[in-house]
Amino acid sequence: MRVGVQYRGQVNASASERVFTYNWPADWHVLWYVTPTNPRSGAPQIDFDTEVERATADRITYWIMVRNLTNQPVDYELRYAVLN
Amino acid sequence: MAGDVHVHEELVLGRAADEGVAASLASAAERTNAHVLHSYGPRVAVAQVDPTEASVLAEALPGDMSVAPAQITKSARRSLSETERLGLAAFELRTSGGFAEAKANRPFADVVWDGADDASPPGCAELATAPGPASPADAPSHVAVPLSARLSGSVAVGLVIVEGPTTALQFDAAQRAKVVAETQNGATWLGGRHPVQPVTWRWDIDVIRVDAAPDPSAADLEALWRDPAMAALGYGPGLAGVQAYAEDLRLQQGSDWAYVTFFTKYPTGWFAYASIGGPRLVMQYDNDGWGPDNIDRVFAHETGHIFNAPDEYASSNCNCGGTWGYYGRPNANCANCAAGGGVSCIMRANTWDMCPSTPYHLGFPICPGRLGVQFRGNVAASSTRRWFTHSWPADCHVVWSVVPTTVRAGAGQIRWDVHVERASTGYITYWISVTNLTTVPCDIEARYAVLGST
Repeated sequence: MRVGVQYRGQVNASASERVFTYNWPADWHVLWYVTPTNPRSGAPQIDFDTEVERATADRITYWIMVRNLTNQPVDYELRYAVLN
Repeated sequence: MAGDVHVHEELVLGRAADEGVAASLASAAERTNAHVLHSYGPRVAVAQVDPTEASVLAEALPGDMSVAPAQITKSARRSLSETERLGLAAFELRTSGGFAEAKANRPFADVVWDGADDASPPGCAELATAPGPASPADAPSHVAVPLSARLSGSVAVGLVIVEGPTTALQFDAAQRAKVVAETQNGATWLGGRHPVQPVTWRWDIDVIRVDAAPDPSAADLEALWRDPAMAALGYGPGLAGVQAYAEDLRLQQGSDWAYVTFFTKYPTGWFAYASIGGPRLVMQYDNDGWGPDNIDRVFAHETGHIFNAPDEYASSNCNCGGTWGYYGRPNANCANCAAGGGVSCIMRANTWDMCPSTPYHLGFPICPGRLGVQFRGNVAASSTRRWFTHSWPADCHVVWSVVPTTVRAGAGQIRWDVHVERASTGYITYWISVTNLTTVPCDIEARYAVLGST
């Protein structure tokens, strides 16, 4: 198993941003999760969802929707784990 | 059991002095859930192994290697190199009744390093505390790759016992074995604090006699004996020579990290000191009032400095700030400012304890993979309930899942969503919303998987 950061970005206040990452081998078991990187204590800052596209027989594209739950811009990093 | 560090260690002895032996041992250890803790040349190693698995390890080894040999012949001992012979003698000493008794009766056990009436604290870690001003030769010529950025993986240690021309400056055979046994004991303990895999220590031992007359008034007490010793090993003067030796050791041993440990009876400015981040550590054999039976803990403390951990005892003038070690964390257990004076820790006292700050300073991985249940609860029918869980280290990769524990077959019972809050620079709070999709209450458990760290 290995973990990493695929992308770092910013999502505007109360907005959503969708990012995609492609060419992931279809036989890799990959999990995606998002973490804010600028501290703001007291309430959640980020929600995220993952959608999956089988781009070819052996390649997968992941689409990750990142929602800013606050009224200020939030920096975030898109993390992954390859479990196998 | 060797020493007092509560690790089951076994001696592994090979017959052929070639590099293949170490590879065979490493391979066999991997297959049998054992781990090589110490290697002393190609033929002598100490492995951590479950007591019930020692025979399995023995069977996995090539025929010319043995685990815990009942007898070692005189000719086999004679064939060993000095490093191998001392490694073997050290392990035999650590498994003796006398060693166990000495450990059970340590002077000043658990006393803070600046709290013993008859013993001074080990010298502070900074190079500036080394005796005498640094000469131009003390400026390392280059620092291409850190020699001791974090205590993890494998560490090559050049152990140099420096003797002088008089009997008072020389080590007898028992004292040499004692030095190696004590450093072996301390390294087993310190490396065993690693949360994922114990550190492997690869030793290269030299006993060097130099001609220098002791001179307590010398401007640089260390250089007086160190530079001739390094010259005998083929290296230049000053810390640059020590650094070059450590870099060569790392290459020769194929290790992740390296440093040099000197033991001597020559006068030194402090009875034990080290430079933060390496490349060298210096100890007196008599170990001041702490005595030779505490060399292991002082060695572990000083090795902590080599791997960037700060002092925590009050007279070191520590404070609770700063950015120390691999993760750049403050010295939060400093006795001068931590609540209650801090907790027991090798960087604070003569103990086999480690406080929560030191693993960060040493660079241990702080997110070893693990699974668990963080909380259990109940969600009312057709409703959503939200929990939060805080203080998760920000560089840990954590994923969450929720499962019902109330049994109800036929359809999905719950759905969950995770929101994330960066509560501070170093910590994350997870907010987990659980929706009950059914018309009856549902018990749930929230599970986490820590996958590692970036």
